[in-house]
Amino acid sequence: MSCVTRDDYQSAQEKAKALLRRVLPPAQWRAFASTGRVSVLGRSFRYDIDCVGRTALYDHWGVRRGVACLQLAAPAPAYDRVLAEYLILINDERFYLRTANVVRDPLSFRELVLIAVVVASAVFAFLKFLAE
Amino acid sequence: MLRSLRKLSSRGDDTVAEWDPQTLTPEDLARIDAEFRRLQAEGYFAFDITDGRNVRADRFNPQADLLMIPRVVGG
Repeated sequence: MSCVTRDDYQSAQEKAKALLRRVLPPAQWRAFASTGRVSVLGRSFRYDIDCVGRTALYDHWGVRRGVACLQLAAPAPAYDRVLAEYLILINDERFYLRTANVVRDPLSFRELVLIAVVVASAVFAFLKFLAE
Repeated sequence: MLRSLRKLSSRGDDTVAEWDPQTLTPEDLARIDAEFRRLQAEGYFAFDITDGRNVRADRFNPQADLLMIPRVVGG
């Protein structure tokens, strides 16, 4: 019989943290050390991989568009999950988006108003065209 | 310089193999390559993390530090 002790858990966390530090570029490691997040700029989104929460997706204007959740199929420390997400994202963003569970944020009131204005303008232009 | 094949695990990571590319025998090379392929067959992704390269590695490269990541799923 074996059981996981607190020392084992801390040792695993420390090892995973050391590996993450080795893999991340120095600037990204410093950002991670101060914020707990690794930021990756992809083609579709900017991804903020969070050590304790889900990965936040931002569009290129900096507006949050949703969250993504990706898990390792085997148990591993949180730092390992951050490392896995980072390596997958910088190598194959499309695979990441296909595999992760992505939950999009609902549109904001401002965006809904903007869409309503655009649709109303199009309808108005169409009706004007029919009337002429 | 020593190179290694590691895999992520509940212990953080495990070193599967470690070798010196200068002195690696063909037998050891074949053994480590077989282990690399076995992990790939189990669904692990391989990355070359040598000196910040951080790229996917589809084949075993004895000159590289390789990290195997378990299969990932949507959470």
